[in-house]
Amino acid sequence: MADETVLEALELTKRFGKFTAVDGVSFSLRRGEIFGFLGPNGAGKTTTIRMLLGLLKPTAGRALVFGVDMSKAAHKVRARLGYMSQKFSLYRDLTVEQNLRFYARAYGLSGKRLQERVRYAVEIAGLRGREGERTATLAGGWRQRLALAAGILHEPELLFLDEPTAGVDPVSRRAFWNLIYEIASRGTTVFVTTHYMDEAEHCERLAFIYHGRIVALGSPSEIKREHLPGEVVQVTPDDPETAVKLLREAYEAGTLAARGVNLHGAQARVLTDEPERTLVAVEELLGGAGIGYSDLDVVPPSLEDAFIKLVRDRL
Amino acid sequence: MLNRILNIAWKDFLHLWHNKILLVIVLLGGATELTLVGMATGAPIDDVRTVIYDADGSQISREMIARFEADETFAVTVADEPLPDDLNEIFTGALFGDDYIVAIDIPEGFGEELRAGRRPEVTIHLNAISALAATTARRKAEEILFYYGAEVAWPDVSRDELEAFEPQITVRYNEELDRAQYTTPSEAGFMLYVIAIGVAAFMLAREREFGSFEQLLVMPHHPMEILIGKAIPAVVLGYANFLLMLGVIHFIFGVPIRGSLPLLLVLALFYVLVELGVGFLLALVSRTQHQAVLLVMLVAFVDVAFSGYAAPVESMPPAMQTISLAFPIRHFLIILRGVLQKGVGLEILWPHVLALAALGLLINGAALLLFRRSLASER
Repeated sequence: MADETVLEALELTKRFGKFTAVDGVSFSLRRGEIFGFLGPNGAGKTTTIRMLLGLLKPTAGRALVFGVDMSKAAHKVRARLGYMSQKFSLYRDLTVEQNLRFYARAYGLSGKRLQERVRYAVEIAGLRGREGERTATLAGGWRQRLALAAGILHEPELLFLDEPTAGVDPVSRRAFWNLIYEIASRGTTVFVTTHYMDEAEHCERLAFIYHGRIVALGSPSEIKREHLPGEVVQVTPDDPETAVKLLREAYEAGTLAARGVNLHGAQARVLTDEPERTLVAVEELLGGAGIGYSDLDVVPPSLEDAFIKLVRDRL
Repeated sequence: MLNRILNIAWKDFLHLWHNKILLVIVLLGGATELTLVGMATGAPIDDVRTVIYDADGSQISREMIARFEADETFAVTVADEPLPDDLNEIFTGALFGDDYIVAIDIPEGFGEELRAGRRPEVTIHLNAISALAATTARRKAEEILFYYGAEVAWPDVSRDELEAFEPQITVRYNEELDRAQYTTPSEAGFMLYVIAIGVAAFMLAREREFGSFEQLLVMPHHPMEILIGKAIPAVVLGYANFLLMLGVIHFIFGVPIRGSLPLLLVLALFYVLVELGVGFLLALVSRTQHQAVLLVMLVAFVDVAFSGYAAPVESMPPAMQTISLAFPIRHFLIILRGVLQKGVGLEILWPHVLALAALGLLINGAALLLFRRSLASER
């Protein structure tokens, strides 16, 4: 049953007054996959997740989870779902153990099984020996892991994570994603929203939402292939700002064969279908302007390149 | 279902347990305030500063002044010049060097008039700023004037006979004119509900502010389970307060429990349930816990005005008296005083129980409606 559908969004639409937050969004989740819901802040990610959870009634369209219409009978499937919200995860004034016990009991666990699951959650959150600490005293990364552990106490079949790593340092984010992989490997389907591109690369499939619409859907490599044919010439100039300005002017003047020029951190990235020619052109342009540089190379495009292009196409 | 409800109630108790200051306020604030209010208002009223001007100067008038001096309610000063037209001079202490609460003017010819069996006019001026002392003093002064006047006018009639004819002024439910007897039951009734709606409003508003309410909804809870779970700590704490305060008013302030204690306990519980919806309503219209707590205070202030707690309802304008019937606290204070001090039961109090039931349906119905609407438009 590898491609059994656990969730289906059918033309989901949500309007708040005149503002359309989510506009005809459709996609489906297969059992056991990690599905990334990617988009900038305000793109409609949280609104979509709330409709999928039955917290918000769609203006049009349907959200089916395990075949149940979430705007009508969400209670039938609640016990099979887990949810870690962006806004709230744990009661900060309660201790690690009190939080876990509350979650476990809410899902009907009791007795020996409750003990086992709570111990397991403490274990995977890496908080053994700190059960009596208030969660307010935990650092952000620990707290997020604990929230995730609390969300899977009842072994949900489908887990919703809304921006689980927002504001968490990169090391903790890595640890967090390792945990997500572990959970998925046990058969839980994971729906995760994020605005971090590097996290999107971790997902098996992705939907990119922009201004309430899905603009790309598929695996990371499919999205890159489909929306971003070509390659990237990347260089690290000594003066990135000036370098990108120079390259962009050349691109707009038609003297640089390229499909776009972006600044990415300290690097200038030039999308191109003819990497060899572009490489030489970049070398000449920077050399001519007397801008020093290093690490000039042709690299495969990243998801970020793809999304920047997708967004640019829509401006 | 029951397990999930108790789980939420237990969690809310944990929140309170972790917030020690709040817990102390919630548990002991009521009893402490009650004790303070009781002590502040419970002092017996005596030595009310009184100035008497005797324009008559007869033996009869001097004898009457002596009666006033002998009564411990009054601390009498005899003025040797007429009282001024502007009584403020007396009441502010500008004239006789002390700020008086009572000024009595005995007219010329008082003794003769009285002996002739007529009714001479004695004027009693009261400084209403000290309303309580003034009221007490007035009652006492009237009593002295009546008996003394009767003795002089009808010397043959004995005092016992007089009493047989004239209804003696007695204060039935508040024998010692001890104000603590009036204020402390009000305080108990008041705290019962302020604590209950305060906890209910705070606990619900808090979940909504933190976004945890949404988390509860995503769990396998029916929305009503969440609400009932949240009601339990509110009711328990409000009720615990009430029991504590009932103990204080009975054992420390000597307020009697003349009626049925079990009846009172049942009606008090019923009353908390009636008011509970107010707490939830306030939480539902608030975006933060601070807003909710401020609203609770606001509502409490309004209730103080209408409940007959601060001022007797009888002294309000008729329109306000009618409006006051819409406040559950008004009915509960009548029930509370009725059972404690008058010793009456349902046979007398049933209209108020009925009123509470009606108001309870209205309040909790509105709360439920708003709750359901907030679920539908949760954003």
